[in-house]
Order: sequence, then structure tokens, then C-alpha cells
Amino acid sequence: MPSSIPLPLRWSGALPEGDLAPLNCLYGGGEGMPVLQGAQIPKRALWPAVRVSRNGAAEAGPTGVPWVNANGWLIRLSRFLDPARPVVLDTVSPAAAAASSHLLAIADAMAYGASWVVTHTPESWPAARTALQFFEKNEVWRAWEPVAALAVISEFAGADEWIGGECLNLLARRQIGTRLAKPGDVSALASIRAAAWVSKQAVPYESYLPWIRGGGVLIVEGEANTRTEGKGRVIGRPEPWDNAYAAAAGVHLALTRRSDVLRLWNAGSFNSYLQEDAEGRRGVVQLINYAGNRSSDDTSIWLARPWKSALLSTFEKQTPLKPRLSNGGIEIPLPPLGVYAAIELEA
Amino acid sequence: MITRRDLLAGVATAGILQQRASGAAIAPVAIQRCRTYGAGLEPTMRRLFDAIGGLGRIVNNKTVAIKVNLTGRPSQRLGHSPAELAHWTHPRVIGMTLHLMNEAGAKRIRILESPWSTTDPLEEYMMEANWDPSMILNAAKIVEFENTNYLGNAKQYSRFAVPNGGHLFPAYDLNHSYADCDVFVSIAKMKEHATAGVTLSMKNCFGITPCTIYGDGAGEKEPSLAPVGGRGSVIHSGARKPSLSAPQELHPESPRRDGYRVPRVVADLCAARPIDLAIIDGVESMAGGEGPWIRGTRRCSPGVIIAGTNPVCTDAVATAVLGFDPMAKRGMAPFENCDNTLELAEQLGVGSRDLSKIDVAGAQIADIRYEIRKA
Repeated sequence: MPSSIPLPLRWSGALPEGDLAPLNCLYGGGEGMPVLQGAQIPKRALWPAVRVSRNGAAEAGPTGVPWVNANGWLIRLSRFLDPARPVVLDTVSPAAAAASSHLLAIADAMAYGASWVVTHTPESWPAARTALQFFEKNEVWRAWEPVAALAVISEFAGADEWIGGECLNLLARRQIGTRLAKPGDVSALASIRAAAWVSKQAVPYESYLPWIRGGGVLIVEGEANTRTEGKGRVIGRPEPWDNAYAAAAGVHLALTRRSDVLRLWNAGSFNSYLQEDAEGRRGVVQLINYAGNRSSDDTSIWLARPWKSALLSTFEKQTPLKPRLSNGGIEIPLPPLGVYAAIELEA
Repeated sequence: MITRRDLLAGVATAGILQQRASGAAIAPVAIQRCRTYGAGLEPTMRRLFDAIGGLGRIVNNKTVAIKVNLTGRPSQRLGHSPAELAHWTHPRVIGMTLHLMNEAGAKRIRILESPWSTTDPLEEYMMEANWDPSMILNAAKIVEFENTNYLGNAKQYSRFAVPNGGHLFPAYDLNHSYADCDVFVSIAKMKEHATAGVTLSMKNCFGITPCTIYGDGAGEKEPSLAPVGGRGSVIHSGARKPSLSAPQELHPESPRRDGYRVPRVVADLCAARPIDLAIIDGVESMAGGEGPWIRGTRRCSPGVIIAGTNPVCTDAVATAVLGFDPMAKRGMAPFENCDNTLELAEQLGVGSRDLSKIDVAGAQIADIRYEIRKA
């Protein structure tokens, strides 16, 4: 992996024994490798996991789907706001965390184009190294574009920081592919049909009218804003958008599930990230299981695009999959999954 | 301690219930062998409805409301099986029913269900399960969907009193769609049920109760705006009351066990909101329980479809097809841990479960029996 992508080791003093490749820098005052420099380290990053209440049960939202602490949205946001600097997550596992949780931390960071400050223990390092090598081998995915049904327009800072970030987080939980855009940057909406205005600023409708009249759907807060403009529409949602859960649900309803790019079953603790290469010939869905263990149920996935072939890649092995045509796309039954899996797709 | 007065009251009540049961309505039931949801479904369903006198006499020039069974969350499957091949009514059975009702002159058809913990439109819920709702919407001239798990577009809930008093509640407050129709149809999936033994056309109507009133997150005094969770605390366990705006329990001292309460609520509901046409999809189904959240459940293929104009008669025939005795008492299969909903509905005069009195058309029970416990 090129040195422009830092793979840091949390360490102080002399390096641990053994082969440390592909780690390429140190974080924490150690010696024997370059020190991590120039990276952005988001302070809001959380240890990735299903959120657990005091009584040990998984916490769930109103629909019963578990709350997860996931960092994909934060990584994508950090890369959007400052594309020149690599993103590194400085999160530390809780004392009681299993060794497999390190794999989750690596997957949660690297699937979205960041890296995790690796905590080295003799027990966890061999598997962690295998995981890092997997992402090193598939480095090309970091440059692929997410398949997006929706652009999220926000400053993602100042007054928009909380609602913008939470909407990205919760839309990702709904497996909605998103593109990020700044207010007024209409060029970011090229080839996209819908956009949500998640900003406290007043909507500059004049700027967006050509895009809307050409068939775009702009989703905004406030039912009274609903109207038709040319071939497109402004959809005003009744939910108060200071409630991020309601806002994300409202945006999804306005978008409608007809626009879903993928659907998952028996995968309540999973997040997904679907990307394609520039030519649209190859794609990948990365599946991250925040329950962290082997899934107990049989997960299935549906992709809106009828890809010709699919290959399941985990850190350990590759398995050809058997997609079947379904509802205009393809549906694939998946074998039991662990912390992470990638479905490699070809058109 | 049971007093002499209680005993006498009980004997008197039992007598009244027995009298009502003996006079319960009877209607013929049709059974058809049906192995798949493919091209053979249309002629099969035509024969099915013809055998009970045709759809025209039931739906011509009428507004029809159809309760389908979309239980559980759309993101949950039994293994890799799409919901419609295990625990949900199959969309082709729904679509074909609509198509044939349209031919028979139905004026307007409304598809009803109370989807899990949401006010989302039914179309969105179906799409989450990977259904294309347009195949239902386009199956007849005027088709609408309504999520009945909350108030919806109405200004108030509609109150349905249980004739003859009711077992658990004297009346129920429901979404307006159950009142704003001329004909009410239940299209159920043929399954076992962890709490009620079997779930057929009557148990399907457990889901007509809005969770804004009868759900875990129901408002204390008034219905909540949105449904949250299921009906566990209000109906299953009786741990809390429904919203006080709705009629309250007749016997608050009665057992707080789901095997006692759920069958009684189902019987009450079927008396309060009578089912005019019962259709049971048993082409593909699941055994061991009503949904993938029940341990030990598995796919099965009974290969049968059943219909009748009386839900008790229809469910009695379906119960027999599944290898059970519809006359079974509590403690006997499939009612090992619950009371028999058929018996409770019969006591309210909804219909008869006595197979010796029910005309069965098409296939015969003995020829088509599918012992689901052996599946």
C-alpha cells in the first residue's frame, strides 16, 4: 500500500517482534518506523459495535433495527471536506472487547477509505495482518465512486454539523447510497435524480430550478414547500428535521424505496457500501457486521443493477456466488458471514 | 376461590355460549390443490370461487376491504426464503383475487395491513420485502393501500362492538378502513402459530388492531400518533391497558396469559368486524410457527388453497387439512398451550367448526391432508 495511505501502529518504545508489514507508521511515540503525519483524525469516531444498554441487550431504534456505532459516514464526510489529507481513526477497543473486534475496527475504517490505528497484541495481530493485506490487495476500491440514489446537500459544519452528520449516519443504516454536496454546488447533482437539503440555510431555489425542471427531486423540510417544477418536484416533508431519525425516514419516504440500489435481509447489524469503477464495469458491495460475530441467520442481498457475476471475498477466502434475476436486478443468497465480506461484481 | 355464585354464573354463561354455538352460521368451503403460484393459479382460483357460489354475489358493485398477512418486519426472512414463500400472503394470490373481483364487478378495492411499528405506506413496506406493488395496484380498476396500524387519513377511529358482549373487550377501536367498506375479506397464510396453535383467516385479523391503541407504545389516555412495537404488553400479556380512549377489558381479573387472551381477542374481532370472504394461501408456507422469529421453524409446501364465506367454517376445514381436529380442546394439538379460537368464535355465534355440518367442495380433506407437524 502506498505510503500516502498511512497504516499506523499504536506503540511506544521498541517495536514488537515479528513482521509488521503492511503497517507503515507509528502513532504514540514508538521508534523504528516513521511517525504518522498529515492525517486528519476525526474526534467523533466511535469504537464500532452494536450499541448495548446497561442490561447488556442491544439497543434498537423504533423499528427494532439495532443502533450501531459506525464510522463510515464520518470517514466519507471527512474525505469530502478535506480530500487531500488521509483519514485515520484513533479508537481504542474496550477492555472486554474480543480479538475479532479489531477486525471490525479495521473493516469499519478501511472499507470507506480510511485506516485504523492498529492496537497490536500477540493474539489479535495475525488476523489483523491478514485483514490489512486484504485491503492492501484491493486498494483500487478506495478510488471507486459510491452508487448513489440521493445527494445530501449540507455545509456539514457550523449549524449544519449535527443534522448533516446524523442524516448521513442514519441514511447509511437504511442502506441508501448517498453523494455529498455543498449548498449551491449544482454541478454535484449531475446524473443524480434526487437530493435532500439538510441545511439550516434557506434553500436557494433559483440555483436548483434548472436541475429540478429537468426532472430532479429536491427534498426539503416543511410540507408547504411541496410543488411541481417542470419535469421535477420539490417535496416538502412534514417531519421536524431537528429529529435526525425522523428526517432520514422522511427523506427515504420521499425518495421512495423504488430508488433503492440494494436491499438486505436478515442483516439488521450490517451496513453496506456499494461502489463502481469509473467505467461501470466492475463494482463491489462491502458488508460490515457491527455485531462482530458470525451471523446466525442467512443473509440475502438484492442489487438493483443486474450484474452478470458475483464473487464473495472475505479475509480468508473467495467463493463464487449464484445471483438470480429478481425484480429488475439480482438477488443473491449469502453463506453465513462474519465481521466483513465483499461482493465483487462484474457487468 | 370460586364461590357458589361464580359457579352458578359460570354454568349459566356456559349454557348461553353452548346455545349460541349450536346455532352458529354454516357455509360451504372450497379446497383446491395448488402446487405453485405460476400459470395454474388463475384457473385454480376461478374454480375455488365458483365452488362457493362465485365472487359476483359477494363483491359486485361493492367496496371491498382486504386484510392481507404481512406479519413481522420486511427485512426478516426465514432463511433465504422471500417472505411470500414462508410467512406472508403471496402477492400473486392477492393480485389474482383482485383480478377476479374486478371481473366480478367490484367497485373499489382497498388492501389493508398494519405493518410492524411504522406509519410508512404499505407500498414502501412491500418494496422493502422486494415486492413490486404495481402488480397489485394494476390488478383491478381502483386499488388503494392503507396502513391500518394508526389513524391514517381519518379524523377518528371507528368503534366496533362485539355482538353478544365479547370475551375480552366489549368493543374495539380500529382504523376507518374496516368500517368504510361493504365487504371485508381476509387473505391469510396457512401456518401454525406459537401462541394460538394455528393462524388462518381469523387469526389474520389480530393485525387489524392499531398499535397506536393496542401496542406497546400506545398512548396512555389517547392513541399515540405512530405505532411503536407490537401488541405484547396490551393484548398478549395484559400487562398494560389499551389507550383509555378505547373500551377497556371486561374482566380485568382474567388470566394474564397469551394462550388465554390472544384467542379471545381474535374471536371478539371476528364477531365485531365480520369476515365476508375467507381465503387461505397454503401453496407455500412454513411449519413450526408464524414467522422466522420463532425457533425451529422451517419451509413447507402444503400445496393447497382454501376459501369460504364463513371464517370459522373455512378455518375449521383448513385446521383439518393441516392434520388437526378443529373440535380439539385446550391441551390437545394444536392448542397445547392455548384455548381454541374456533371454539371461542363459535361461542360468539360467528360460525360452526363442526366438520360434519360443513359442505366441502372441490378437493376433499382426506385427499389433500398435509400434516404440518410432520413437515
